[in-house]
Amino acid sequence: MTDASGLAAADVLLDRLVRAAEAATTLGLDPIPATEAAAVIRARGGFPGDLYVLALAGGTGVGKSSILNALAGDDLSDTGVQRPTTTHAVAWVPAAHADATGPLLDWLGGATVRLRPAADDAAPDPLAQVVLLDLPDLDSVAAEHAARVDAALPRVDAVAWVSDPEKYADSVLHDRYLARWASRLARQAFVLNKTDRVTSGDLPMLRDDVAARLAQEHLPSMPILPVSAHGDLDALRGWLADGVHARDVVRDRQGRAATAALADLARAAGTDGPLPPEPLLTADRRRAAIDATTAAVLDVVGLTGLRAQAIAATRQAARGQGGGLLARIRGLLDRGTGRPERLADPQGYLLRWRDRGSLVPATLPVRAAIAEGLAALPPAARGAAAATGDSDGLVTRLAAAVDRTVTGPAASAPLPTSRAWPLIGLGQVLATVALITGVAWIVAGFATGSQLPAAAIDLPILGGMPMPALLVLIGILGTWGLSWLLVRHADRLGGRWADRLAADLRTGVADAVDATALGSLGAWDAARRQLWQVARDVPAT
Amino acid sequence: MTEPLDADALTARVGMLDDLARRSWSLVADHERALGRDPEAPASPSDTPGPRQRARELLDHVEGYLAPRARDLDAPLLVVLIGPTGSGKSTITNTLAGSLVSEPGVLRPTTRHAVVVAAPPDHAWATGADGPLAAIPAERLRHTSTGARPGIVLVDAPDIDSVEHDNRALADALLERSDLCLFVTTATRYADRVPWDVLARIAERGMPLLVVVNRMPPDASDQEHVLADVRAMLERAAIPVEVVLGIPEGALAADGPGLTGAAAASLTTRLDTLAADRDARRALAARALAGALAGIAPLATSIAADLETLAEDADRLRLRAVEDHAQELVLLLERVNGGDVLRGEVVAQWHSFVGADQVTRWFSSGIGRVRAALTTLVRGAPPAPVTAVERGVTDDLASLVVATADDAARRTADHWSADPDGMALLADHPALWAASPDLRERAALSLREWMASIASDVAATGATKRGVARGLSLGVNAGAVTIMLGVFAHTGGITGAEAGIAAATAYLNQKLMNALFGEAAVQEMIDHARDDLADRLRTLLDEERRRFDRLLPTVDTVRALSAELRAVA
Ligand SMILES: Nc1nc2c(ncn2[C@@H]2O[C@H](COP(=O)(O)OP(=O)(O)O)[C@@H](O)[C@H]2O)c(=O)[nH]1
Ligand SMILES: Nc1nc2c(ncn2[C@@H]2O[C@H](COP(=O)(O)OP(=O)(O)O)[C@@H](O)[C@H]2O)c(=O)[nH]1
Ligand SMILES: [Mg+2]
Ligand SMILES: [Mg+2]
Repeated sequence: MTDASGLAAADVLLDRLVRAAEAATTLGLDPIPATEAAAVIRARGGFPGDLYVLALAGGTGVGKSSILNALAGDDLSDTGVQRPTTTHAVAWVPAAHADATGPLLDWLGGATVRLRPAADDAAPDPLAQVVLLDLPDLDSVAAEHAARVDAALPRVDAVAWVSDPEKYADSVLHDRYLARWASRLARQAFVLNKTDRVTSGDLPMLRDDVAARLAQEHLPSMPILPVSAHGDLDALRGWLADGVHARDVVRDRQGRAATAALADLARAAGTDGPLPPEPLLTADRRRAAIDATTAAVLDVVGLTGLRAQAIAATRQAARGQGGGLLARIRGLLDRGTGRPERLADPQGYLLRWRDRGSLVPATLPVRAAIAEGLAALPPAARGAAAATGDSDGLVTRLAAAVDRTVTGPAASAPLPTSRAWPLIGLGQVLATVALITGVAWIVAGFATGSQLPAAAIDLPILGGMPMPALLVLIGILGTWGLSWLLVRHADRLGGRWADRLAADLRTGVADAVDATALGSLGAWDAARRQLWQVARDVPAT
Repeated sequence: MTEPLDADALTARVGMLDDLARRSWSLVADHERALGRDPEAPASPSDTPGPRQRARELLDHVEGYLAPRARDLDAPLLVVLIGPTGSGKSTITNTLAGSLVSEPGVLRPTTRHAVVVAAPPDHAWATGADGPLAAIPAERLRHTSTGARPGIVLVDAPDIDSVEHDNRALADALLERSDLCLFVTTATRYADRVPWDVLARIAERGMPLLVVVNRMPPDASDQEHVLADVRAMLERAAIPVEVVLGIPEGALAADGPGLTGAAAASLTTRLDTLAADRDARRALAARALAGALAGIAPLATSIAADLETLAEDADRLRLRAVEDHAQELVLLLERVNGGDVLRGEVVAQWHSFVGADQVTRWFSSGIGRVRAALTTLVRGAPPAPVTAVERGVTDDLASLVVATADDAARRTADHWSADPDGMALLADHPALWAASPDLRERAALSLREWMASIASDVAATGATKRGVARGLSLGVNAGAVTIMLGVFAHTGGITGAEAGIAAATAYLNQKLMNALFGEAAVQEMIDHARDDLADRLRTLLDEERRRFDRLLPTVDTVRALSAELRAVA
């Protein structure tokens, strides 16, 4: 692998981790696993990439220090019968890298450095790229030893898990260390030391038992290296010399660590399945919630009231142009009382929607739908999902949406008028004139006491009818009929206008509910999809 | 203290301890189940023992050891071999039995059950209904009488530290039931942390202890060094031990399944002496019993502390729920008292009723009164929109209750989730993130009851006050509605001149009420109705909150038990 691609790989990993941390934050999950993994990758990038650190990790007395000494052919690290022996890490560093590894080892928690002289010129040196790190034990009463191991493990590049025929099935090694770290490491081996203590007949059985256990722990491909620090170390030497490149070791290790961190987050978010996560609400459920919310919002806005107001306003306008005398007088009288302003002002009525009730009940369908979806989520992911149904937030967003709609173009359309109204008005004038004339005629007749020429007109059914009476009749019937006509007509127009406006409001509110009420749920869904994508390394769409 | 308590006092004490142990265990186990964990599932040996293990220890200890031993000091001695995997327990058992009774092996862990080496009558006693091993599942015990010493039941326990978690659970149970422990470790293992947890428990339990350090390095000075180190560690940990014995590596007998006679000689001799001497056995049993009784105190104290922590945690979570629900209740009551409850249409309907001339005649004067009287004469009294108002109130207020409970539930669940235990408690109850599904119905029911109680209040007042005729001519229900609206709109100081239909309605409504019932009675009825409503809303939210409470242990019980445990300790 070249430098360039190695660097690119780290960049890609960092990008995925950063995006995962973002998504985790939106989802209310702890982003620290991702940010820490990213921090390790960044830091490691600042140290030499042409060599890798292989830690010897295991219980006390399994022979870690003895193995290092045997490999070095020298007493680099203390060994002894007293348990535990090793308190501080010892690093065996190729002499050529002596200076470059100092900061790296400090970052790993510090170690006593022992230099390894360059091998004989001709033979290729299998250990030229390895720093061997003999760690303190991970299972003794000395808690600070395990703490040192715990601090080093997230940062080392590779691990040789050292155990022996006595300790290879220990709970501490398996439950505490392999369970956590094996999935985060690329280069690692299970070194079974002290094989000189078992008969050669028992060894294959022992090996198989180790293999079975590792397989059970989903680590079937971990190499098992039976060795003896006091004898045959070939298996370990062979593995060390198997031709890996330090850069690949470092890069693969980072890849594993990042993948594991991403997988942990995905699990916490419930997005660890093979398929992209479903939105919290199915399309149907979402639709139903939006419809129910819209209906509840419109209930507060008051479409029935709106219709009544629109009709009243249209009637008023109609009366102004086509009303008879009485209607006009009533209009004049009403003007002072404030009634028209209250009862015949559809636009004002809309703007005053807040007076008519609270939007809180309207948020219930959305919240019920969200609550239903929570059961399918892992417990840690429920909080943020539930928060998308936060009552205050929802109410504020819904109110803003309603405000936008009631001040929108549909609501500010002018009230209907008609050219028929002035005509009806003319009719009303004529009818009134007829009425007045008839009445005046009759009054004059009475006043003079004489028979005014009251030409009787022959009507088909009523027979002969005096002219003045006829005029009065025409006047009354005309006024009443024309008023009736005017009101019906105005009601029709006003009703239609209100219906159009209601339809506009309905779609406006529904759209607004969709876009705003469920808005943060959308962001939540998107964050989950993002987490799924980065965890599975699916390119973002 | 070789002389035991007198028999009756001992029986009484054991009986009391048994009761405490059972209650502690059932409490801790219930809580574990509430947290979604199986209390019987064996824990990982590498985890430090917690409340669950301690409660189990006490139960095992009292039922498996104190009770049988208190009944009979002369019953056989139970000697258990405890130690890490591969330390050589089985090999030593074989050596002590003089033949292959427990399979030693290269593979770790070899032993997954316990081997009981006992003469048939001793075995029958140990596994009988009153014996120490009664509660151990039979399939986890293998019995042999080969090489058994009468009077001694030797138990080779499985390991305490391997990945086989069941083994540790069995070893712990056996440890609690025995008189004497042979703790077997090795030169490689002796500083391992996990076995020291077990040693600490052995010391706490006041159990006679022999430590065997097996597989010692060949070099004599190395051996001395290791043994000295082990003794020093035991001393530092304040673990009293009868003797620390070393057995060198490679001392396997060529001809048999165990160690060479010489290596294990001192152990074998000890056991033989015990077997031969009935009084020595009795003395050891008495010593063990005395130690066990004294050992109750530290364990009971730790469990008491565990229970206090449990109660504190429960209190903390419960308090969160109480606070969150109380805060939401305050908001709800503010809304209710601020008149934020009624939809405008409902108010408008009522307004046109109370504003009608036929109704205003009750309280208008002058020309208005004349007009009102005329109108009434012509048209009769209009019907009050009682149903509409009542339905409006139930609908709107019930929705508000649901929304409030929903917010309270979410807040509480959110707060609980910040705590690992709280999150675990909620894991199986996602419904607690929202109000209960039937809350709306319950709220509506309670509100209908509320209105009914106002109506009966009105009927009762109407019967005694001057407004009888007026009130009844309007209808009891309409009277009730005026009071109900009074609760929502009775903010005092509102005048009809102020803008808004709600204020105008409130004004007219107030006049009507006063005319019907008299000012003092109105105030009384409104106050009463308002208090009743607040009580009902509080009750509804309390019921909602109790869903959270039910997940928590009853702290009073927990604290009482904790106090009892401290008292016996
Ligand atoms: N028989 C045998 N003993 C070993 C072997 N490796 C180490 N030992 C011994 O085991 C003990 C502990 O070794 P040490 O290297 O200090 O273990 P560490 O704690 O893992 O570093 C020492 O007494 C070593 O001599 C081995 O392969 N065979
Ligand atoms: N060489 C030698 N091997 C021993 C000694 N004690 C036990 N072993 C071996 O260590 C392994 C584990 O012993 P075992 O008795 O099964 O241990 P357990 O798990 O404690 O019961 C077996 O292979 C035994 O043969 C000893 O003192 N010397
Ligand atoms: Mg060491
Ligand atoms: Mg065994």
